[in-house]
Amino acid sequence: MNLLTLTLKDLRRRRARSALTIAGVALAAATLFSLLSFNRGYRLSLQKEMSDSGIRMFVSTEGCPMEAASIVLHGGEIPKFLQEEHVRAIRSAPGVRTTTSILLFSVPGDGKRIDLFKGVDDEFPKLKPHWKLQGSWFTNEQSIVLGAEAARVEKRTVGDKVFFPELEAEFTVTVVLDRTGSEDDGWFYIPLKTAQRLFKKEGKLTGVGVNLANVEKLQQTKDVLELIPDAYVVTAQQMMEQILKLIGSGKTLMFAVLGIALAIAVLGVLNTVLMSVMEKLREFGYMRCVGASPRDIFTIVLTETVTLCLIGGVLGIIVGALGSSVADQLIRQVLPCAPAGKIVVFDVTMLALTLAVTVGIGALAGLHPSWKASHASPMEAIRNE
Amino acid sequence: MNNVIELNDVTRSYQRGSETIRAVNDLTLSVAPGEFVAIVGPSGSGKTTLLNLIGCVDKPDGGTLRIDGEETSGLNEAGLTKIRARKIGFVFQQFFLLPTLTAQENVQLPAVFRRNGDRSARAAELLDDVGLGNRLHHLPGQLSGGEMQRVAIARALINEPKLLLTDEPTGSLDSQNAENVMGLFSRLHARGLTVVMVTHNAHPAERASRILHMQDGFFLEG
Repeated sequence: MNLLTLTLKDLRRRRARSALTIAGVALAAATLFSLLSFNRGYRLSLQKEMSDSGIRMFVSTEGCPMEAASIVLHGGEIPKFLQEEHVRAIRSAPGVRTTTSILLFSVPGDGKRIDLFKGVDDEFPKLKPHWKLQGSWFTNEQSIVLGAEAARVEKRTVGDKVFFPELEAEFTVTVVLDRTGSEDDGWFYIPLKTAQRLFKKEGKLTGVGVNLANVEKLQQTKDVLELIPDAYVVTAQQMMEQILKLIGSGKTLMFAVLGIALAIAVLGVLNTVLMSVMEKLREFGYMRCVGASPRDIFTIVLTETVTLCLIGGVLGIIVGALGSSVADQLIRQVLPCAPAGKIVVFDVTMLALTLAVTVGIGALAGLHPSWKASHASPMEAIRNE
Repeated sequence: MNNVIELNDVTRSYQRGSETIRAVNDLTLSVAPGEFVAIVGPSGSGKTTLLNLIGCVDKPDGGTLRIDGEETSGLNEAGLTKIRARKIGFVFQQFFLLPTLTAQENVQLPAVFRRNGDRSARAAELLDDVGLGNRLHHLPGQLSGGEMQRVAIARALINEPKLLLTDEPTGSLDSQNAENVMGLFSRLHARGLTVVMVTHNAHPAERASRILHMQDGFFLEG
């Protein structure tokens, strides 16, 4: 027997109380683990999506392309468009390999629903190598490709007809995308020319995605493209930074909630351990009589507290890891922009960090009760016998 | 050979409101190795205060106190803890056994605090010696009062102390168990252990080799 086994045996004495304390710590640890994993996973996913898309830069009119997408997502109308005639100049810029032209539009649907349309050319699917297509791309001007969520809402599959009364247009579904977990799921993709005709924007584009033959010439290409009248060029890196900035406030809020959860966990552990110490003060006094030093008692109580938190931390990590898919879906719902793929990705660093924080909670919460217990008077214990 | 206990003009006072209570009043006492001393007195006579001073859980206001030749009056808390762990074994009226530990583990407890290595075999021997060889893995809740007191005695012996201190050891026991426990103290005394017992009851004190009567902080003559 040693001090550790003494501590572990004592934890079993008040099982319900210990279990509740562990549950509180586990909840905080699971939240911490999930948010840390999200923080890392989101950036990785975004980088991967940007890299997979092959778009190294995006040419639009003045204003950020993210801003244009945001206006459309909320049912607004983009005030300015890029002239399609500039596509030729963009393609001929040094270092440019391919381009894809895009026109975004939103149309009020049934009730409060907003139907999101993306007019795209045949180059577009090449920028989305992670897409799993059921069916073949546009076969004629009235073809439509449905994102997974759009297909679910419309209850349509490949070969079905879909009619939009607000556009007075009927399309044939040629592709239904597998669910990606990103915004792609909610869009209707139609041929660019059809979109320009339906929305009366012939010769106009929201923007042009540019794929480079030589990434090292990125700055040189950007400088040339910026000479095009009204063109605003933003690189993939800048887009990523914009997106990260966009979700920054959401992340701040989530980490604030996490801070509160951790503070509650510390107070919960402190309360439990302090209560336990007060109940056992006489016991500690007796221990002092049979040879325990103040340091021994301090170690016993602190070990008990840290052990509680460590168990809670391990359970929290298991819960966080098992529930990462759920966390992924929940976080996605509150984000203004989420890339495809998993955005909650954990690794050993997250695991170690979470354990370190929970042990820190234990040490912090255990300091005062341990100090109090170590000052238990042996004489008081005997006097009250 | 040093006396195990050496008290010279030891005093200990308490404040109760505006009144000063002299619980131990200029006491002088020597206890030789192997003695069995019973300190008998009514409640409030100061006998438990004296035991606390000898057991190094309290410090005197005046006088000198030596345990096994070591002056304790000037020691700090760490020094007193060391003496308690190495030289003294305590047996209390209420046994004080940790409810989550088995009899064998309870006996090992002082050795754990003294960092004395694995003493489980020695704990088993001691329990066997007090007649509890078949109760090693029982929790205190599964033992009778007499058995718990015998576990407490075994625990007091684990660090091989020079001195065994006991405060009303039969106070919570029926007459049969009280007789068994006192028989155990007699056996330990016969083996050469120094025992100091505090009791308000004259009957258990009859087994002691020396009986000291105490009242109002003094030893009574004769």
